Amino acid sequence: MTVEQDFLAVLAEDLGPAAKIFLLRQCRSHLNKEPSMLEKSDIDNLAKWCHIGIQTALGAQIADKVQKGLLALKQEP
Amino acid sequence: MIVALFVAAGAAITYNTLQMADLQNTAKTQLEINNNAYAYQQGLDQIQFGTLMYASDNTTQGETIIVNSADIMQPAQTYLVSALADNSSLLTEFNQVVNLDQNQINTAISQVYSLSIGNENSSQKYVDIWTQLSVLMNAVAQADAKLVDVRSTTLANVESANTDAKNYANMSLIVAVVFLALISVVSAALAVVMGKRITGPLKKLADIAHKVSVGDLNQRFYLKQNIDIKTGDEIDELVDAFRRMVNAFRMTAALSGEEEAPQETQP
Repeated sequence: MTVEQDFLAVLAEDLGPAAKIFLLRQCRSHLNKEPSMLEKSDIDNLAKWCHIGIQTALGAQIADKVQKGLLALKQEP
Repeated sequence: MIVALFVAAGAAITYNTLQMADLQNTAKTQLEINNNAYAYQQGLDQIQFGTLMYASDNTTQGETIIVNSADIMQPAQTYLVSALADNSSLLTEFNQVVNLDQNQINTAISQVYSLSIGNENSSQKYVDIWTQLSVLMNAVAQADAKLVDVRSTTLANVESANTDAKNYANMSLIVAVVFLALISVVSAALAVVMGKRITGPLKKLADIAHKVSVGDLNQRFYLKQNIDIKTGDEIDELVDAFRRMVNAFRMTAALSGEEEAPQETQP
């Protein structure tokens, strides 16, 4: 699986169909790249921006959970 | 619990059925004893009748009747001695009948034979024959009375076994009805509880879905408060999916609003 697919899998657990557009928005706005270009080195930064975005819309509890899931992707091969 | 009720009812009815089977065997045995005692009694009456005929010079017919009666009495005696082995009072009574048969009745028959085949034709001979016939009839009467006692006792035992069997049958019926009622009540109660467990969360979910459908996305919070029930089944999955859907609505709405609003600031 690519990094984009890994991110989408984690985000979709809580955002459902909004995961894809949310990831696209965060990548373009904060990393200036397309989701398909994501690399493992982007995980920390993107997890941080996802936490901020989700906290604003859905609250800290879900944001913390999603950030934890995203950061866990660093451990995967 | 329903399984336990079924097992208990089954055990109670099986116990009653086994008791009824025992009582049926008892009644059957007692009836056979009664029939054999009656056969023995008939045999004694035939012996008496055959001896009277023999003494009245109908020797051939008399002998035939006496021999036939022995054929009836011998198997009956064998059966009764065996069947009454565990009933000492009835066995004692029957042994007294056998003693009367072997000592008084057979002796009287032998005497009648001896006197009848004698050439002497005196009046004393007929007096002696009549005396032996009186002894015979008296002994048969005593034996009859004892056999009637044995038969009355066995018939009373049959009646008692039948009454007990009817009681067990009635008890089985009562047990079946009571347990059926209990199982019905427990089943109905379980159906109500299970129904509420399923329909309760679904009803709340339906209410919240209705509010979300008219644009109230804050139902996400009500969802957490109202349907935070872990049923461990498909309802959990449905609630999770619904939460995800409401989150998606909120996120989509937030992203749409952000297009014209300033972006998030660095934490």
